[in-house]
Amino acid sequence: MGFLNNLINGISLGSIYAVIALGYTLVYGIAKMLNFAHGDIIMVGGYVIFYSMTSFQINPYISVLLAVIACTVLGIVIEKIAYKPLRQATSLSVLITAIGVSYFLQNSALLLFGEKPVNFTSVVNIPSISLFDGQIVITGETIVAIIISILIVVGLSLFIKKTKSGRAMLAVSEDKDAAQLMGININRTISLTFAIGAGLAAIAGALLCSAYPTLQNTTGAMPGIKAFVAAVFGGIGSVPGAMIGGILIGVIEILGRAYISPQLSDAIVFAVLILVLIVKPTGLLGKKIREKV
Amino acid sequence: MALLEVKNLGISFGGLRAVDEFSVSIEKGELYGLIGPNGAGKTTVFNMLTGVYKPSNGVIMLDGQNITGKSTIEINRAGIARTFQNIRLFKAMSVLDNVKVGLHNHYKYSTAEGVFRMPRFFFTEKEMDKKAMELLSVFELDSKADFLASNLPYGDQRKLEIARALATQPKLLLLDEPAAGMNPNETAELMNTIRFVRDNFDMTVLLIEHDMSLVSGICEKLSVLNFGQLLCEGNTFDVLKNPEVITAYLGD
Repeated sequence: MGFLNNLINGISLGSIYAVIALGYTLVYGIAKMLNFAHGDIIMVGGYVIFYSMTSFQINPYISVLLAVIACTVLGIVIEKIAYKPLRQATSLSVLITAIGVSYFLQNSALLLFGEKPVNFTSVVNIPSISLFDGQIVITGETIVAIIISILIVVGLSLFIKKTKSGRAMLAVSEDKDAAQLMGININRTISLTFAIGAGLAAIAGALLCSAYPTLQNTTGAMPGIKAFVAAVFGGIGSVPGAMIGGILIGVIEILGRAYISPQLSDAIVFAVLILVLIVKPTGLLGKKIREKV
Repeated sequence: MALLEVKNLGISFGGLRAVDEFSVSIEKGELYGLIGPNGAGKTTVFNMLTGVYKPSNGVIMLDGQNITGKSTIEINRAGIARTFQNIRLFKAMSVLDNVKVGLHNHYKYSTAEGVFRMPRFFFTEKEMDKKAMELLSVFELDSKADFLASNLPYGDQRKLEIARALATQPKLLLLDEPAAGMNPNETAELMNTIRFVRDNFDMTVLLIEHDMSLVSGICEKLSVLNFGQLLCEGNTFDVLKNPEVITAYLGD
């Protein structure tokens, strides 16, 4: 029963990683850049929810909606100010800028909200489910995290495959110049990608802070990096890959913490990543890159 | 007034004058050829016409509208579409979706309508599917609409590129070496397709080509580029007999 409980906790954490990883993978897939500030947008989302719930007494669900809107705008603004001028620059410059944006967000939060962690009240008010006379407990947060992540993966896949904007995103991801010559507005498409990624980060913030209710300026950093690992693990650029990678990383982390060593659980996560990359460098569902000779 | 009026177009890359004083005038409905030895600057002219390169000097007028130095998107909206020398389809997308990308600017519904799957989303997507299938059937690709673009045979990929360009509803279609890598049968079929497109879509076509059977078979007029400069222009028959042109191609 202990194992089942751990597995459920792992899937719960993994679902949250999956939602974050989707943001990474989407931005990487379409804009071809690693947005290392992605994790910190989660933290911003968390604070927006926290303050609208505590200072303004707003309904939790509306607070989440406000956070999604705030983060979407933030995502678009970050892209416009920090990344757009570097569209033609080398990927290294963009990567360094992203790290800079990440520190900027963390330290702005430190300045605005202080260094003391705040106690986050869960936005989920679904009761836990007890099975087998209380031997297995599934919290409301777990249920919501799993359902939301599945909904997001399905919705996102449909959006990309079936809609005009989604097709434009795919076209830009494959060949920016050709897409532009077909009349696709690249700037608008990349903006949209960042908006969706940041909106997902806000939802991830709600789920993460509900399950692990302390919130401070570095809250998003470590989950952000783990979700990045999950995205690479599943094959960066692939939407289902991000989901699978997220769940696996969550399960590995929790099981590692329970059965091997709580201190080593992070190390185990990264060790697994290294192993996967040695065996399959493009990740589990990553596309093979064939070099033309 | 000609559909495309290019005057004194020129561009330099560093010290290299890639194209110099290039002028051409193409009437609506014409099938016009741009020929010349390798490295003469033909694709560079295409890149300037489509806004990929900004010309250093000269004027490009499309249907009375000055499009010199405009962005690729603006030029596409003004009415120029092109294909590429090395095929640049969206290979991981289906044949149908490639054409639908071309239709992007001609069908409108908001992203929100797409996300929440409102009636207008379904309606518009259906209209786009219909239009795209119509275009594909012109090129006999309708039965392969669900294929990935990368899985099409070479000749079909060339055709799909033309279909995708036509989907943007241009006034002028630029074809960059459409017959490159084709066997004589495929080339003959392509000639029919290009003629069909011109006649049925009211299209004006400017093409770059090395295959002289195609050039002499379908082009009504030619311009010859050599070392970035216009060597001569005129009716296909006269140009191909011009001794200067023969020298440029074959040497003295």
